[in-house]
Amino acid sequence: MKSLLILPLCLIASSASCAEIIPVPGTQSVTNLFRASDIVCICIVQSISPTHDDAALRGNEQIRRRTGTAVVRVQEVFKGDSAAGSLLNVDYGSESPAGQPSSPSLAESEIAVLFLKKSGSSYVVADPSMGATRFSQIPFAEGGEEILRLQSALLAIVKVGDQASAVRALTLIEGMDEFSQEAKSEMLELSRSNDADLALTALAVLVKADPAEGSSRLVSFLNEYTGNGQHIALQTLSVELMHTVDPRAVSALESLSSSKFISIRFGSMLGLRSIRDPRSTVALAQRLDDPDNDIRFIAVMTLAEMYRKSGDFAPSSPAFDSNPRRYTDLWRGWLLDPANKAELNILNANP
Amino acid sequence: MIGAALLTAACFPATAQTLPGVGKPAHRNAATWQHMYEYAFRVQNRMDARAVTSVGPIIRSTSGPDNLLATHLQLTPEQSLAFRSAAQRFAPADRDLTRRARALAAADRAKHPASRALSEDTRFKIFELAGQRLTAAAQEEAALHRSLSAAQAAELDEKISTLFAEHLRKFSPASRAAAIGLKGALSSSFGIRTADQAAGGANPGYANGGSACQNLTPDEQYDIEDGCEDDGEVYDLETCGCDPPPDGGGGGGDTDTMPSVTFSGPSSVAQGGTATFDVTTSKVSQSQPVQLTLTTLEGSGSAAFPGNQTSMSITGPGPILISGVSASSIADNIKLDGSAFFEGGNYSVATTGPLTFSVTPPPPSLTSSTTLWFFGSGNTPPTAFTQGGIKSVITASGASGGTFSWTITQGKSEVSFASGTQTSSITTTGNAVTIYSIGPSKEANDATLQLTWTPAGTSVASTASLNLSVDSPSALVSKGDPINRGVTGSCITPQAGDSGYQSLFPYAIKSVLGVYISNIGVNEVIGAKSVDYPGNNWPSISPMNVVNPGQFYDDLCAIGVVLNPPTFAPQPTLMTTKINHFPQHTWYVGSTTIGSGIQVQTDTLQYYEDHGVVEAVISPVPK
Repeated sequence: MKSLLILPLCLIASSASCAEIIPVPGTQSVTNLFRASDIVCICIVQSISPTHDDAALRGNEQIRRRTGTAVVRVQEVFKGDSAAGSLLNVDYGSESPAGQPSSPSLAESEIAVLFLKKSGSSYVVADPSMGATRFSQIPFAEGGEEILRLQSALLAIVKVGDQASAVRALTLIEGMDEFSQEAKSEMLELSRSNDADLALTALAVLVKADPAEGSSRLVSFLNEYTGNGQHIALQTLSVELMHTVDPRAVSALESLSSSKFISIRFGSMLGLRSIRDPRSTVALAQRLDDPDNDIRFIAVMTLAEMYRKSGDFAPSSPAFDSNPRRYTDLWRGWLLDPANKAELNILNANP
Repeated sequence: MIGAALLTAACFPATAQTLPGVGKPAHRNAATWQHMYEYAFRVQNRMDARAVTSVGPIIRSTSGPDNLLATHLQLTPEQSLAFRSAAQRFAPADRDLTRRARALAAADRAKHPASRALSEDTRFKIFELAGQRLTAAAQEEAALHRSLSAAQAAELDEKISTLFAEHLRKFSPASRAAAIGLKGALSSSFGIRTADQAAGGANPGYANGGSACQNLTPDEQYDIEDGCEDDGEVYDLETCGCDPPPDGGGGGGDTDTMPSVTFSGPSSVAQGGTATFDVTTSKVSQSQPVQLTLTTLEGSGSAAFPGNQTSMSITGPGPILISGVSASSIADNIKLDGSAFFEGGNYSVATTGPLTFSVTPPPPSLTSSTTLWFFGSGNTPPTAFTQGGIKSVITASGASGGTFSWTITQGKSEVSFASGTQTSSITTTGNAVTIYSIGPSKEANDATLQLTWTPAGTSVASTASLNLSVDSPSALVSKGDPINRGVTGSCITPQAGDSGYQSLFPYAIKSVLGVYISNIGVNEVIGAKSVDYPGNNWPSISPMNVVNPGQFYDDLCAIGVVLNPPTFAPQPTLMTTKINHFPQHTWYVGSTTIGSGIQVQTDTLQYYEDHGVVEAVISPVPK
């Protein structure tokens, strides 16, 4: 029987409740984490040894503090001077309820991609949310250097692993800044998956790797999608869309700006705001009537930035919230005013 | 124009009836001819500068401005060329001596502000300068005559005398009056007849030094001496001053018909910049065309009417915008002469209105190196934050050297020249200054930074200003449906399962100015637990933090088969039994330190058996 011991946090696995602030999966930089880590490896947890376990008071509340050391065996190294087969000590510490960001949990015999930093004579996990990601099997990396080799290993998990492992692997791949052709091809393949979680997560990677292709594929996927939208990947996609600056993606972003999913509308509208292509004027004008107040506000601000308007055409957020109709009507009137036709035409002709 | 007017007015030699017959050289009165040629040279120079001052009767010609005088006088090409060359040689001495005379008068007035007349010493010096100018005119006259044949020279003399006679007859009754008033002082010096002797047309009392114009003020004295020409007005013999010209023009020596042109506008113009002045003509009827001309009298500036024209015609009175006023050097006073010329009936007249302004350095262009943000006192965003910073370098492009005086004129609670404390002014010797955010803007561009730049070696400053905004986190916006899912394992890295639940509430961070913020610290403060389910043993929760990559989740998780009551995965119909709630859950943005940053939302975290809910959301938080 596998004994579950929590490396850190949030109580013993069988009894926990917590309120955490967690980044939307896939949106944190794995590239930066890779750079900041001393060792990046695929490791197997050999043993876990608690070294301290006591109770203390924090204010009026009793908390439980535990520390320990896990011994992990290096299976494959992507960064650092440890050789395959060597053993590393990974220290952990936790308190419950948590007073600091959580650290990942590991169990004996588990396989994980670890991002480790040197701490004295041992190591610590370099990031609470991405520092240790468990997988069901040892992946096999093909070619590439350092982070691209890690990407290759993660792609192997995507191809042969279970669905949960595949999603976790995709989440790590999404956090990278560079994508191999193999990765892009695999994302295109996965974007046609019947598993919406898998497909949407792959599309999030694709939107980041190739915004024009990814957003276009997303339009197609959502046109066919009939699910209830309970996918974390929709939020991931929202973040990727909001960071899109590729003008080739404008057409797809305009289409996505009228999506039934507010997270997609929100992300695509912020993408359109970043690009500020005057040819998006019609799509933006339509969003002046969006049921969501923040979407209407983004439409107003994007038009203001696009047509270099100030004053009431570009209200502050609190001012807009106090009377949204005033500002959307102002823009609607300006866009319909024949006197502004020339300016609209000029800008549309010269983005 | 003290010196020039003094001589022009006081020393005219004869009437129009006598001058045309004057020949060369037998009965030439040298001083008389010096005056006539001095006058003619000045007319030519003014016309060359496209001015029409004092040559009203002549400009009726339809010829172009460059040869108006030559055409009017029917000069031969040889005469025209020689005459204009002589006039151009005379011009520098004319300008210099006139300026010096004016400076003397101004200094005298400043020294004796209570005096009603220029001092004898000053008057004497001015007369000396006038004499020097006559000498200069005489030299050029002589050179002019040498360059022509005797016949051509004699013919030119006659034409010049005709010009001067026209001037006396048609244009300058005030000058005649002034001359009469000064006859005692001047006639003996120059040995010429005075106007009343020649024409018999002036006020005898005044001519005799009568009571009306005795004991003059400096201004009155000046008016007499320049014949009111500086202001385009007419000399009033009863008040001994200059009066505005009346409506309708009028003919000949009718002083009640003189029009005026006045300018109003800024007292300074930036070097290389532009300004707008109003031009108003008065006493001109709607049907009378008025020719306006601009020319530079002093300094190195210029001005133009719309269309970059130096001359334009208008009909009737009314304001006209002069744009494109510019100056080419710093700290140099520029005087432009705006002249209005119009015709009425069988006469024409011109008047001038000086347009004087100082030149300031060109205003620098201020730019800010980055967008300013405020995340709470002492909070610095992480290096991954790329949307701006808590300080910015303001650079004044186009300015170097001298002193730079920077002032925050608006928004002193938002920006400062010191980090963390309010400092609203600073002086630097370089053209850049660092400005710090110390508070959030309420709306875009509500802080103003003003620079007064004084270039090295000058006392003339120019100003520039820059509007600034300090953006700041304002609110959390939730743009996505909450996700309730069944999980197992731990709440740290939960896996799909049915031991408990994870309720995820997505958030993005919106700023005051409508920007969505990425890569900034977020943290929370959680209020005391409030028990809804007595006897439950669900643990408390603690505040957490994260660096937001664009959006983040508030994650309400509960997994615990040994908890009482036990946790469940979300049911098809969500359960309604409440376990605990945490009111006064407060969000901060700008730091990962618990409780630090800008407060953006308060809410209540409610834990149920199979899901969590965020309730009573207030965002933004009223300040």
